[in-house]
Amino acid sequence: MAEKPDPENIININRIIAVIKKVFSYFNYYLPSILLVLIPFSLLAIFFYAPEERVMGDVQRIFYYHVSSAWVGFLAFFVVFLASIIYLQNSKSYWSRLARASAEIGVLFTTFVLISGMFWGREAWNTWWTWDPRLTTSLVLWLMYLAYLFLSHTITGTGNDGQNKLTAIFGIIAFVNVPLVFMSIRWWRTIHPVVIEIDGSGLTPRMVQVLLLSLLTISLLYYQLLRLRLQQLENKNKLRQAINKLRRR
Amino acid sequence: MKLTETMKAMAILIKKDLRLEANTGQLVGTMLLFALIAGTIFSMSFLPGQENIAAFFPGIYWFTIIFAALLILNRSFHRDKKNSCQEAILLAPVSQENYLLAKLIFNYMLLLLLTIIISPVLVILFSAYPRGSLGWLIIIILLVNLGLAANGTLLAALATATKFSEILLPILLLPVLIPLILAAVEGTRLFYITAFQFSELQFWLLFIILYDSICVMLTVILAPYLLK
Repeated sequence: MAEKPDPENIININRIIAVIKKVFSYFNYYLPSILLVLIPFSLLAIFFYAPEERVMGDVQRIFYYHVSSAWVGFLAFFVVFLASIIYLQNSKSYWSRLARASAEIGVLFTTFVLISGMFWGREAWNTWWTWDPRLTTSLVLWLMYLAYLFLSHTITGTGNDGQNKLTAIFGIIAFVNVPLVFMSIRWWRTIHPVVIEIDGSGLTPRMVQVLLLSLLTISLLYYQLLRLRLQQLENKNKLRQAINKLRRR
Repeated sequence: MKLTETMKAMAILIKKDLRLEANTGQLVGTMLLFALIAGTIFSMSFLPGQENIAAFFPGIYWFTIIFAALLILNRSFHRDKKNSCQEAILLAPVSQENYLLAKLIFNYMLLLLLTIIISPVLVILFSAYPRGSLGWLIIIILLVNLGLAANGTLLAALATATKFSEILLPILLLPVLIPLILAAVEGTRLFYITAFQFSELQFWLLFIILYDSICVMLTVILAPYLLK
């Protein structure tokens, strides 16, 4: 006779998922307050804790948020890619909205990367723009995802599933191009004389600490913005459905 | 057995497009006329006979071809949209992949025709005679046109599925083409500088082949989601 397993002793996967969900919901609930503390804290760290760079001086402090935003930009575009693939597979509109929200935030952060990079370049290299591989790749990415947003914006008016799929397809095409863009630009620049090369090795421990803190801050900021925008898009969708229902009556 | 049948279906689709083109001549006419006009205006505004022809001729050459391609790519799909021809074709035992690949080959043929006619004209207008072995240059031109046709067909199919195809295609296609344009321009430039370096040519060739194969693969993978 098979005995019923004791529910206390076995590992219940559903329970673990429930616990994780609960932790996440707490995390989501407190995240705005965490960010409210973390952003000023990281800014203070950047301006007072991090040492002044020997060659470039104070302007090097742009570096911390600049690099973090660049990372978040790439992460956001990767999320667009993944969400697009999942959306093509299962056609749940959640994934389409996730891709859209992530692309918007990615473009926002990449814009910040480009602008802060220009200010930094003006001070450090005495030029507003240089065809450095990283800068150029960011620029091309920015253009590609602006096109993505343009497509998704023109399409959402019609709002049906087939049209949203087109945006997802472009999201995949754009992301597959990213390594190609980087490769071609890298090689293109090595042919021409490279004017400036950033020396990345000269980071002191304090600098690394501040960089990690800014990375954490900006990544959490991305997560929070993504959640907000997703909620917004969801509400918009619900509202549109309600309006359509009323119209039909 | 299956392979021969898909080949047959694709051959029929290509033949259909070619016949349509032979009867109307719309696409070829627009494309060639535009490329001629653009080439003439470019050569007038960039002062022919300049010393550093290597600096700008490859860019002008490829952009003339890309702009002409932008004109025809949408049209080649719009023709099928009339009277719901596309749906009818897809109802027949033709998979979406085959349909897109057939379109790709047709567009490639058109681009090759354009290149054959327009290249001598541009070379003469700018008096930009390439040095080095022409065979490699021809291979580069063939491969770049393939990439252009593949990417262009994929994105034109995407753009024509919306209501805003005319404005969408250039915006979607040009950023995605940037690596190919870079490779094409740099690869072609090698034939206009005095010191011809084979190693660089090799890199760009490999890069263009990689790009082309990725584009064709994407076309095949995404076709079922693109055409319903």
